[in-house]
Amino acid sequence: MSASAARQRALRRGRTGEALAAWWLRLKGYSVLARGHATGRGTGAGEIDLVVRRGGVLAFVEVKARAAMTDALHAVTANQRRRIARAAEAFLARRPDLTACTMRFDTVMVAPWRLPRHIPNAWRMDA
Amino acid sequence: MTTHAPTIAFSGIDCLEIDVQVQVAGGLPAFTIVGLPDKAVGESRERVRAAFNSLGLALPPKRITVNLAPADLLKEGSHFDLPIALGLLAGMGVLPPDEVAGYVSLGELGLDGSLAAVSGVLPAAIAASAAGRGLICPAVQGSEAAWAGDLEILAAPSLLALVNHFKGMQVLARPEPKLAEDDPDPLDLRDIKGQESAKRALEVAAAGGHNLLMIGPPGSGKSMLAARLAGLLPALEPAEALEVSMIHSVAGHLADGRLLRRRPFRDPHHSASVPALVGGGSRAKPGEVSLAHNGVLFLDELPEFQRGALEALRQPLESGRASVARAAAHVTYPARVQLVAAMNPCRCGYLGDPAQACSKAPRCGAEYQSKISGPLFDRIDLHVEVPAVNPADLSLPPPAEGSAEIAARVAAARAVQAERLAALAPGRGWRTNAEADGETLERIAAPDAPGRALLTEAAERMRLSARGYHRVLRVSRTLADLDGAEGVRRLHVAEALSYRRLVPGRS
Repeated sequence: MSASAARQRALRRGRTGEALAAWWLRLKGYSVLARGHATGRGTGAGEIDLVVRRGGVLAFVEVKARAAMTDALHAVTANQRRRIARAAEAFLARRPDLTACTMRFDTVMVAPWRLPRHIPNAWRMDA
Repeated sequence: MTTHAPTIAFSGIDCLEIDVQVQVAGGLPAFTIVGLPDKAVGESRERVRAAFNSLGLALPPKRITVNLAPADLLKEGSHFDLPIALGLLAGMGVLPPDEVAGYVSLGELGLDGSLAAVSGVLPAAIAASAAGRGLICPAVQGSEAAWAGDLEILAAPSLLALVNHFKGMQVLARPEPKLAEDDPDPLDLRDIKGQESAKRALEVAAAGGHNLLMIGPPGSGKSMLAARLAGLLPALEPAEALEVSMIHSVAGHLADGRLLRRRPFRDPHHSASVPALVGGGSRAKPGEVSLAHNGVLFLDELPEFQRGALEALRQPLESGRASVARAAAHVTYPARVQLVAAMNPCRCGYLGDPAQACSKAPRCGAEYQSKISGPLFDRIDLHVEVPAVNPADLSLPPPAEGSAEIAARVAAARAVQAERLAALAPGRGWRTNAEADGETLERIAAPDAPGRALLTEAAERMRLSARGYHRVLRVSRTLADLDGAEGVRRLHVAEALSYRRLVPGRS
């Protein structure tokens, strides 16, 4: 199996996980504002799996699809956090109506034959 | 909303009030500390986060900005943890913001929310008292803060205890001021047999606060004598004790928050560097000469010290202050010390003893002693030779006179001096003859006519410097005080002159 084939499989599994996570959050009362929101290129690039909202709370969600449930905090690396934070800023710049919300960075873990696990306020930006 | 939690930054033993401002605002969740924090302050973010977790609190999903004002001053040390945590608790609505703003707080947070000791609680408490605020400090240092006077002090073992106190669930009691305990088994001068002239010089040094240099072969008891000087000195007066304890507090040396009562006796090893002796380092910490303030600085094996380190002592010895100038800080510490030094006459140590001296004597003696510069020798009032002990003396019964008797004479002489100096030069804070200067010295130590004639002649013959001349006067005054004499007589001048240094090879 070639490297690109493995990458495609990983991507596909990620997309499935995202869909699962989106439905799980909808069940919890969130509305999904964006999926796979990407911005910029190169080192300045950012991407968020899901942007969801419930009432006055806006959550930027990173979906982690894993074979086994591992700690979500460890699954999101510092580099990914920076990507997500950049994308969140870009998203807010396009949707100024949402800046009054309380904002959170969440993580949703999905694994085969398990219910997804939602971790609100999983991490924060640090200077 | 912005909440305020005052704290302190140190510049020497002086305090600068720092306003820790905490803003909890909407926006992408973040926790930033601005206002020129150094590494230890920047890391307090992680400690605060962990301590909150231990309280069962999570940081709110908001933008948290901590500013340490004034923003152009570098903030150092771990004591900023507590004000940051308190400001944040106030911002989160856990504590009433106006209560928090009324206290100067300092302390280091552990990951479990416990409060660890930090340096400088005593000066911070005094500054808080002057600013009309209360003080929040770690529980172990409550007794130290309690010396600052009549301010409200919260000495908490942990962050949780503080929260409970503010909620009124478990009120913290005011800590009690504590004094350092007396040495249960002090060294006694009775342990030393013979060496009567050295003991006399030690008594004079103790009575007048004079600098003393002991020269003698190895094993003659120089270090033993010096170690017993502390037992001859009277206890610190309250104002002195506070001053000394403040320096030790800033250096983080105050054990169990107890105020020092005995005069400090510092004996740095001869490998000490310049910053170790006079203060310095990137944080301009006090050196040994400041830690020995109002006490004794003992330099054993004087010629073995680095030359630069010894020369750096010249200015503090003269002015009673150690100034540390760095690019980032300019700090002055009090350093009024009595220098006691001990040395061998030459490298092999037996210069005066033809049977034991090495083949290079006496040239090696001049060489060895020339490692100490003239200006430093000039600052030493009492030079005394400590000869090798006669073996017959060792089998004698211990001398009748011990430290207690000598200390009583010293205390009496010191009381006379303090009273006289307070009357003649009020406001200078002089307590001993060694500190008296200028016109006051001329007035208190004017010898009678024969004494003056002797001094003039000796000054010419011995080529005394102006400083040396005045030092002889001071020692004469102390000798007269030990005698209980009103004026300085020829006898006192003669003994004082006998303690001046004779350069080897020149008589």
